[in-house]
Amino acid sequence: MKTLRLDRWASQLQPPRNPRLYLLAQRCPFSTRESTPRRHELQRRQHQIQTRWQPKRRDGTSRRQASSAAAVAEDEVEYEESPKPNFPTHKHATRSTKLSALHARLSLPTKLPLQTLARCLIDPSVDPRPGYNNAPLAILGQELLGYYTSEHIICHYPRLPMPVLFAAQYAYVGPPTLAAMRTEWGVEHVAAPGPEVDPGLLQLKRMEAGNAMAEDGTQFVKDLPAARRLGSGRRNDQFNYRRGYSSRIVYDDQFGDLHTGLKTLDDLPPFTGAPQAEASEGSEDLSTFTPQDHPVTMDTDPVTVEAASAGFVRALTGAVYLHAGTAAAKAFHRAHVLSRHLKLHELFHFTHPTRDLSRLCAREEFEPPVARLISETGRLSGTPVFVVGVFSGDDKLGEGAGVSLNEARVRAAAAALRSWYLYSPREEDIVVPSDVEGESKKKWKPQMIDMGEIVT
Amino acid sequence: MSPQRRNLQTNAKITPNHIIFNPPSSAPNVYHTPSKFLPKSDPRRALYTTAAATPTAEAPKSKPKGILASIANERAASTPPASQLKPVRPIYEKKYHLTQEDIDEIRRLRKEDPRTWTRVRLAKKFDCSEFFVSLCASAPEIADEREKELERIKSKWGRKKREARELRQERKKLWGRDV
Repeated sequence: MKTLRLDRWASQLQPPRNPRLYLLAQRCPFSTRESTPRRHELQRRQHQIQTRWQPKRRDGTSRRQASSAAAVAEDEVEYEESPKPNFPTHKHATRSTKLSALHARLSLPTKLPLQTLARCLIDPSVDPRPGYNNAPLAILGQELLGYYTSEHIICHYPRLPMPVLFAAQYAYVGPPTLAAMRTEWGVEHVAAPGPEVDPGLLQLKRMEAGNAMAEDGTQFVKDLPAARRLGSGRRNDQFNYRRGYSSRIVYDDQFGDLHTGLKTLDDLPPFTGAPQAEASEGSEDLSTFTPQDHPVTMDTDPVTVEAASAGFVRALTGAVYLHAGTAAAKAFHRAHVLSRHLKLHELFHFTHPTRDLSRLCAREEFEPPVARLISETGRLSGTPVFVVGVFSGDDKLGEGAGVSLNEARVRAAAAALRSWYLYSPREEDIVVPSDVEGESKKKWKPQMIDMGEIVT
Repeated sequence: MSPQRRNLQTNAKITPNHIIFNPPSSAPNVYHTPSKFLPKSDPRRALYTTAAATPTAEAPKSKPKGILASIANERAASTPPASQLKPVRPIYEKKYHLTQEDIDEIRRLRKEDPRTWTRVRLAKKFDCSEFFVSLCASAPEIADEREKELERIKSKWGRKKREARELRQERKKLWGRDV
């Protein structure tokens, strides 16, 4: 994958290269404030870019072959109609000490401008227009975080079973971890979004607490019948669908959980020109849909602080990738995600370790496992300790201690299984796929692929 | 000056020029994969097997080649071979000795008088495991009866006994976890 060189594509639209040197740049192309004619021109162009993928609000009856001048006039009218942003403009971003401090504290690449950093802090709950919020960057960042994390886990621990893999992925880049990262970075969130707040704060429309009183004053918000719907409305989140691990891999998100916040086809507005059936009239003539009926609404659903924080960290990863390239994004990921210590051996939970171990030994054609007593103390006391090892032939596979012979035996089998699953190749043999992308000097080595987990 | 302190000082003068490896007796780390679990392609497997292949009797005479080899030798000398350790449960070989006639007999006995021919008695008579008997034959008609009997016994338990048993079940769940 080649790095996108944004600066070569659109140099005139780029903000100053080094935000620390040119903090008070004369002209900010991303500004939404109206002042000089040149700026107005830029704004119009920017607005066109941003609204290109949004349904145009144009009256169906007045559609005509418009001249270019008329089109410009129409665009201006449209711009007047679009709602004012409910967050600090990008002009303020360069003046915010909080933003500059955050940029310096995280040692972000100087190619990443403060304006983009400010945009990463704007949650879609503040402004649903994708040209203004961090949702597009967050989608990219989520994929990058998931990719770099999963390739690291899989290449370092090729034998991990699928449930542990999902759990490890969640522990590294799950929303709670990303939210913790946001607090560790010292980024605070606003109480309520608005154009007057500091751009260095996370802008979100905060969800009401579940145990707050509802409007009727008799029950909690969380007890209201309009329960939050989880999932995408697809077949796999119906109540009778058996969500096995194969189904989780295919349908669900990178943590094996149901997708949240996806809109079903019923929620989305129809495409422009779609025939619409009227409930009352039975005539053949179906009126066509025009997006005019569904203007851009600022009445968005509130989100939790955790979800907004996760969105911010993901968006920042995406922004680092877009502005500074793959190497910077990988360094960012290494510094903030892979540096976290995860106790992988505590993620395992075996229900029948002895049975699994016998199956493993039969599968790999080892001698059947035998539990042998290595040492013991206080057999006749109230607190005995037995140390039992599981041997296959003359080789010790695992060792466990317990207050009874049975407990020590089961613990030893579980330890043996853990040491099987936690096998890691030598550090010099591990090459993750993203290491050999682009013009890197590293040579690809085939990585170990395990046969799969033990099936009993 | 305490005698311990003096000892320390005298020891410090004769600093050995080799690594002292004397690990505490703790459970082995699960991240150190046993050599049997290493895949065939892993070079560490060959290292372990050569280290283990050095005969322990000759180790004091011939100088060990490296630190790893010497550590392996020391460990091999200090730990008895697996065959000398007492197994926790008697080792048994699977016999596969029951024929179709035997299995039919198990089914017949269990069906005729499930109260006399319990799983335990059948397993003893046919010299097989109780699990195998359960695979061959079951008696769902007496399951309710047994369950009621168990409930009757449990109802006589006091608070202490019941809670102790429940706690034991909870602790047993933790055996499969590393906590």
